[in-house]
Amino acid sequence: MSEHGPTIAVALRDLGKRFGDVVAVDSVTLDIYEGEFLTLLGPSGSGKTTVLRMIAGFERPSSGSVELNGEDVTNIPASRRNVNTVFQDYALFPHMSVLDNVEYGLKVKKVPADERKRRAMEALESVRLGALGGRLPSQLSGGQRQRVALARALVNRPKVLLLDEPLGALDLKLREEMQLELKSIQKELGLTFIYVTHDQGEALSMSDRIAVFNAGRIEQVGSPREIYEHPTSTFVAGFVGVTNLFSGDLAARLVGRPGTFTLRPEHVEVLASSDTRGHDATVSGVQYLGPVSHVFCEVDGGGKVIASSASTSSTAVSIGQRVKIAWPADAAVEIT
Amino acid sequence: MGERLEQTARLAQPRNSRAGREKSRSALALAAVLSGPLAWLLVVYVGSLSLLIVSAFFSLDDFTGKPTNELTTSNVVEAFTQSEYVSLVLRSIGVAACATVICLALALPTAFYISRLASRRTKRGLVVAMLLPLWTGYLVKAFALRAVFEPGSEYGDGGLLKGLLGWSPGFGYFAVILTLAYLWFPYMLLPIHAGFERLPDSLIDASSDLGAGTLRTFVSVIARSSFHRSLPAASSPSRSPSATTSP
Repeated sequence: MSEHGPTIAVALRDLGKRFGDVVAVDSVTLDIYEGEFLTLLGPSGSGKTTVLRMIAGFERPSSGSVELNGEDVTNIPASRRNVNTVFQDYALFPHMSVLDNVEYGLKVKKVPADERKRRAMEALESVRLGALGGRLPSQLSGGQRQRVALARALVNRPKVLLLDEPLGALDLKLREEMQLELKSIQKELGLTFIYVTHDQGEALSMSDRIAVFNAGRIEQVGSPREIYEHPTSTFVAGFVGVTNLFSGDLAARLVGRPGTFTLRPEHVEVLASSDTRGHDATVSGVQYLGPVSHVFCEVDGGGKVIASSASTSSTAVSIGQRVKIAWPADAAVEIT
Repeated sequence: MGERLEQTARLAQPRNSRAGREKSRSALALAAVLSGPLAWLLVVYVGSLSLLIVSAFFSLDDFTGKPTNELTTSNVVEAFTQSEYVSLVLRSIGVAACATVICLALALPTAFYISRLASRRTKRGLVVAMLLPLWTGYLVKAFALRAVFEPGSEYGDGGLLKGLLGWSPGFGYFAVILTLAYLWFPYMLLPIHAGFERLPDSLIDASSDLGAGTLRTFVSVIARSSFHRSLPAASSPSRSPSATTSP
């Protein structure tokens, strides 16, 4: 963690939130460092958005505290916290022009008109919308609205930017473009980004660190590589990417020792049945995914293993074919 | 001749494709749905207003008070030059404006409470409460308020309000404005309430996220973004027959 420097931008201490009898967030403790891109990743209802809303100040925690730059802000309203949010639905004010939307935060803070206009135009130009300041939000495309929402937040020069599934409503192509753009803006400005998503691909490609949420708790915090290659729970292993999980008898047979193991499909090799290495299996299905294909194998004696191989590979297999499957000994990672 | 017609019809068929036929059918359906209400609006609403304007250009028979077939502009000239009429018009506008401001000032927070803060049961009760007065006749309501404000009625010297609160507007402009505000209040509340209902929560969050306090958020975001929806209501009190109820 030392690569992020010692300064903690946001500290969550035993943070909890109940809605009636429902526990949305259950005792979350997490340090978020200055300048890092931290992703809160989890399925819907796992509490990640509620945590973000408590950092922003939209929800009051039922227990625990939120600190911004070392100051306890648990009881300070959203309007007086130096963080800004990009909302999932963008939340642009429909009756204001794009420029007025971007200027709103500065207007509220009584920034003089000429400086306000200059900064708003700068912010709009930084998201390549300089020419559209006079339009109403309803006259923009989804991607453009997204950029306005970003400019409206950035113009206030917040210490921390909170993003609640900001790319969820965009189509795939635009989403990938915006991922790169967001990442470069974050690097350029050295901002702390706290990013909520349920898309594990997005989390892996953008984040410095990922906090994986499940049922109101953090299951694991780590770099994308740590999360993907060394998951500490079966939930994380299963939620982030596709994986093979072995436990009990199956683990003893396939890995050679008891325990719970995760094995990523890309480590599994599908070999000819005549090969001397590996375990005998039968192909039960092939799923073509473009660059790679997933090969579903039934291992003799019980158990299923998914292998992923490049679609261009010459060893194309068909359903019902007898094969051998093998993997490097260290590819099966034990979950402790 | 008949053969040729058939031929042209057959030739025209490809152009008059299925899409075209569906289009003309939906246009027909639209006309069927709208012609009734449109005719009603034109004849009753626009028609009566036009008649009023047209009759202004005819002189009145001094004896019967009925319009004669003698064309004149003297009525119009009189309306704009004779000080009584001018002051009557200005007074009507003033009264309507005051009633509108009162309606707006009361409707904004009330609608906000009903649509955003109240529990579901309270909300249902309040919506019924604001709709129920619409079932009562305009005049009945006006007379009801007259009974409330009336000085020196069966409720004592100062009237009902004076007896209860120790203060009453009595009869006068203020009572007229209050009565009109009361009569038109539901028409102001309904569209604003509908606007607030459609307002996404995230807009309120976004405003406070950008540093705005409650009042600022209410004025700049909540009220403004639903204000264009409440404009029809804002124009209603001026259509009220304030001239006829003004003393």
